[in-house]
Amino acid sequence: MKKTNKPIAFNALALIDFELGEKPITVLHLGLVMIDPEARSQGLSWILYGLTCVFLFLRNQLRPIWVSNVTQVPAVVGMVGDTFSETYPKPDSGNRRTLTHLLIARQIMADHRHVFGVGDDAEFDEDRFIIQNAYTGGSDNLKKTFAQATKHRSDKYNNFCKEELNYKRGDDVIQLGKIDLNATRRFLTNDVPRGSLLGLTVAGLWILLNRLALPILYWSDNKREWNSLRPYKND
Amino acid sequence: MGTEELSKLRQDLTTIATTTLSKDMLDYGVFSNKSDALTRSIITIVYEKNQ
Repeated sequence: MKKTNKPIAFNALALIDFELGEKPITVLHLGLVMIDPEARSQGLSWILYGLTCVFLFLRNQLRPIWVSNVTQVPAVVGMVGDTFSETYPKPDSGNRRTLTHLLIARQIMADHRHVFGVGDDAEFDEDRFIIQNAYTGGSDNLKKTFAQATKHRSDKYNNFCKEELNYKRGDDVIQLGKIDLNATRRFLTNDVPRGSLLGLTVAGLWILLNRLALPILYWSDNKREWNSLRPYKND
Repeated sequence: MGTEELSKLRQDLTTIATTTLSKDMLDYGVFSNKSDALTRSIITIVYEKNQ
């Protein structure tokens, strides 16, 4: 959108770094999203929730990125479940909680709960991936009743939240998934308006050219070096 | 980003938050008072389209 003076919406993603099995890992946390009430019918959701993730995936040379989300809003639970791959929990999907899901969730809850404003006194239910009494660490003003929380078009997500979360206490669900090629395909086919597909494709190809195609080209050219990237063999 | 750009970004985020929240402001994440609150954040911000 062309920039004028009035900011109307934002999404703040947070990068969470830690070690998993002695290897460094970065989890992309889907952070705070806010939309000016007057702009809520303008179809900004795909920009705020998925676009940046897809660009980061392309910049990461198509390597999958783990994504985390903490919410009590059924519409957001559904958006994450429908978009990202291997998401847990995702109701009625058959998706399992793997050991990797569990280890990542434990790390996030042990050392990074300040990222999403959850206090030390909140308890993490590892079996259900529910954070009990979550609105205690700076996010207190975001606590909603079930009636206030925006619903998803699919009742499976609404029913999941209603049954699993105690809204009076202030529970959140923590979801973990991945942005990968399948998630990108789902985003492009299900979420992006047709009128924006061409522009998005050009932007995506530009990122891939910079982050993937050109480095491969320079790597394979043994006549000239390009910055710190050495060619695959020297004459 | 330079100090001036960061200051403008914080101001824009606060503008959206005060318009959106009916209650008091938040004090975590990008709204934390810590100086490095934006260091490990990726912000997507949308401005009103020029008519």
